[in-house]
Amino acid sequence: MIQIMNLTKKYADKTAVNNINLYVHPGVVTGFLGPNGAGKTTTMRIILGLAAPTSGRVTVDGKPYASLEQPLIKIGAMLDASAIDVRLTPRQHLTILATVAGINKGRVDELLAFVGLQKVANKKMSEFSFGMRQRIGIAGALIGDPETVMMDEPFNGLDVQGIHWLRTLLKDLTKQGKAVLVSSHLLSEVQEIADRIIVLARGELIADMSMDEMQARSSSSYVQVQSDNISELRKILIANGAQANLVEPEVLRIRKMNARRIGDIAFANGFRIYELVNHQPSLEQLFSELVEGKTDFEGTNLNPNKKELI
Amino acid sequence: MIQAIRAEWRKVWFPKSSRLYLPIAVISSILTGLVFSFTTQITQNRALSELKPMEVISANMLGVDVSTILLMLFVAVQIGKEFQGKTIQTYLTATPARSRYFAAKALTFCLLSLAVGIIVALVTLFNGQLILSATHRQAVSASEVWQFAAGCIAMPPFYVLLTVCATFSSRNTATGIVAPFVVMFLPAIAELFPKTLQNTFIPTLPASAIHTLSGMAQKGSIEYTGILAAFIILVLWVLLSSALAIWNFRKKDI
Repeated sequence: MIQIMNLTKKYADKTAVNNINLYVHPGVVTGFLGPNGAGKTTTMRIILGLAAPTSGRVTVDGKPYASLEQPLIKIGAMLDASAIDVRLTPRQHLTILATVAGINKGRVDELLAFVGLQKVANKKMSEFSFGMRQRIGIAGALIGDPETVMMDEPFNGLDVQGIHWLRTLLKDLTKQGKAVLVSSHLLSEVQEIADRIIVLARGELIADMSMDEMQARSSSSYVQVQSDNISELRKILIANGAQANLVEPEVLRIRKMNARRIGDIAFANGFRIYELVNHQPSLEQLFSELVEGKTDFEGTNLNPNKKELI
Repeated sequence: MIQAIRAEWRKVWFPKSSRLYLPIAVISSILTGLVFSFTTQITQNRALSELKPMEVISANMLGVDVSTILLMLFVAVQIGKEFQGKTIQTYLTATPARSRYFAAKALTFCLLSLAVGIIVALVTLFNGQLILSATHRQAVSASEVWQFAAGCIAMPPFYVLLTVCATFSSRNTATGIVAPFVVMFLPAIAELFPKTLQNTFIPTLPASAIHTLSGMAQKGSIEYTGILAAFIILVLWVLLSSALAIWNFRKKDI
């Protein structure tokens, strides 16, 4: 398994990754998130030995990736779908990777069928769309049936059916006990599949926790309550440790207490409850909370005098 | 390592362009050898019939020089493309030990150039003997010819290895081509320096070692180093260039 210890990567003008510690858990999909320039791709490149850390260590099953005898069996990676020799056909590309890894050529045909490129297996990849190249990259990552699958922006360029297929694939891989690390800007996609979330911003580790834990900690998650005696209920809930805000005359927003406990307290004190709804923030909201003020590249409105463009 | 070499061979042989380029390089090298031998009137101001038998063979064998240059271009383009197209990222995830990756590539291209060198040398040698027999002249003795051919055959793998090293060091096709060319033409540059410097410098150059191996540099000539020393000089050039290339390749991020 991948273990990252005190990893720092500095370039002449910036620190891309600053002293991060991570462990990629097996059997779960880990979403690797962060704004542009947060250090996600740099971290992935360091894991694969493509970039050297300034300090710290990354090990795969206790060894640096470059020391592994059968690296493609440990980690299957797709970092850049355009990093292929477009003069080759998909079959030739995968055959080269299978040859290096000493893998049976039957696996090449199996994967070509799996990624849906069997019909174009003997066509030059120069004619392929970005989405098709993504599929080749995904096939390449899976060639060694690796213990860990690592993908950088794998949803980019895929059509709707492709996105659905990849989502299912990644979930299936975790069912086989494999670790999956996926970076993506498409937060809705990550939300669909991720069990854990790692968030980087400006090279710092902002969060490394399960999705449930993250939602529980978020200030955007709350329980909305309507009752016949809202002010009294508010007092009692606060006395029991909740944080309660009155947003409308008869509507409370409760944080730091779950709906079940609120219901029990209301019942025990004889209040009528008209609404008791859990509001879970989307990953996009959670992400925005976490990286607020920590982005390097932030756009501005073209017309500052107009609040909205439309 | 064998798997890595096999994969490298497939990288060379899979693209259609390579499958076309290599035979064309062999054929054009052989044809160029013939052209050199039939144009001595223009290039050396002597008719073919006026040339000594060894000079006829030598003119044909210039085809090996041409094949060396064509192979250098091919190798620099192949490796340079991996760096410029970032395909090296994909390949290094499969072979992350960079020294092994370099060695597999160097060995593959070395063997390829050796094979091309042998084919071109044998055919050009045969052409030379054929011309001599067609002009009713005595063929060159086997021992003399074989030493010459063996020396010539050393040229493609040597300069191809320098090209591999230069391209890995610079990660750039153009530099990968220019650097071994500079080494190839160092004797011409050396001639610009005083005689004492030439005496020290020229015997250490690969061209001198190749000329010694092929028997073109004879005892008493400034280039002559002796067979063993010539061999050691070529090995040292390759080892030092490889060490520099591996150091550079390992040190920098991809």
